[in-house]
Amino acid sequence: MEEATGVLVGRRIREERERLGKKLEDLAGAIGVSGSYLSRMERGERGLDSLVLRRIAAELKVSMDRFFVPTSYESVHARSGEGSVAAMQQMIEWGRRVQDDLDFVLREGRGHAG
Amino acid sequence: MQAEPPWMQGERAARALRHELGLGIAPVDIWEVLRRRDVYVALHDFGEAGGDGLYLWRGSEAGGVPLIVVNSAKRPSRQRFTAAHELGHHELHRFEAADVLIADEEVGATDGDEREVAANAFAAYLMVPTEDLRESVRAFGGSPSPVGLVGLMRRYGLSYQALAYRLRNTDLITQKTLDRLLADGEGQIDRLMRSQGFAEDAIFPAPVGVPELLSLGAMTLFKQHVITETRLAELLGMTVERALTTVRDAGMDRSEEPDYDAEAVRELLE
Repeated sequence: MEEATGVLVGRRIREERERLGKKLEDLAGAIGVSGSYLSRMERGERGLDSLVLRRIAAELKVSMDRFFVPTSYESVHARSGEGSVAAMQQMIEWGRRVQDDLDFVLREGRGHAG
Repeated sequence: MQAEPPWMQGERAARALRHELGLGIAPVDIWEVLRRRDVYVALHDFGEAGGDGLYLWRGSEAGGVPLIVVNSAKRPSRQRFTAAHELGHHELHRFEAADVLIADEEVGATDGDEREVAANAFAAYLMVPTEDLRESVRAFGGSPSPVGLVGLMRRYGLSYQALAYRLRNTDLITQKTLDRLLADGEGQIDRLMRSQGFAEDAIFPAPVGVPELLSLGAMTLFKQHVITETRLAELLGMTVERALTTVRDAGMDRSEEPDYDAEAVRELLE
């Protein structure tokens, strides 16, 4: 069970990092760990450290919940009208936060049903 | 064999959805359609200069969380069309592992990115089925005036311009009539709406704020002592004080403190 969670979280970190086009070494540097530490974490070969996870989430600008949800793909279709690219990015970030919150409520709700 | 053009794909998907939900060809309340389709909707004020809206899908083969975000600062009719357009992406494109796509399009545009054309055609047919529109036009004796078009706004909940283009795209009016309708309607629409006694936001009213599941779920988790009041406030998107009042008003407050450490027990069980 523990191993499966580690593998999932590692894969999700890699997906989120790649989504932003960030290099492994850059992310590792930003959160204060070595490249090999982060690499082993992404492969699910290292135990999960909540402090490191929190730093990664902050650096990738996502909620920590997101690392525990199996995501095979994500798509975003935005209709900008008069909105600027920056305004659309802000809207997308807002939507992603609501989605994170929905994920959280759905998952916790199932865990505490009844 | 030639591939189906994108507008036809969109229209076919809208027909299929109408059939599945038993909607016939009658005008629909898009918010109700989204609810029945299990697509979450969140409205938020991004300002008049902000974008219209977006569709987000995140999932695995087992399912996912579809979310439509709509800018509540836009006119209600535009919000409804945006919601229908984004539902089009859900019906047609959610399994495409797309990167972030931002499309800039005009009302009535029928060219550009194929996915956008398909989503527009989906929204147009879902909100204004050709068959129903044809009947409406017949009732005008075949040539709608600005007054008639405002009547159609009330029937379908869309804007004057969107309906004028819809009439043209369905070949129910000529280009000349479209130009005349757009020119004659200029600056007159609000007055005509008032004279017909209706307000855009009074028909098919939009849901408010974050999805109901999110607010109800957050309040339930708070009541069960699973989350703190700070997390509750974060999920509801309001201050702690206001969140606690909201919970109380909904009859979801914590009636009594648990006599054990619920979190510790949960951890032990796991």
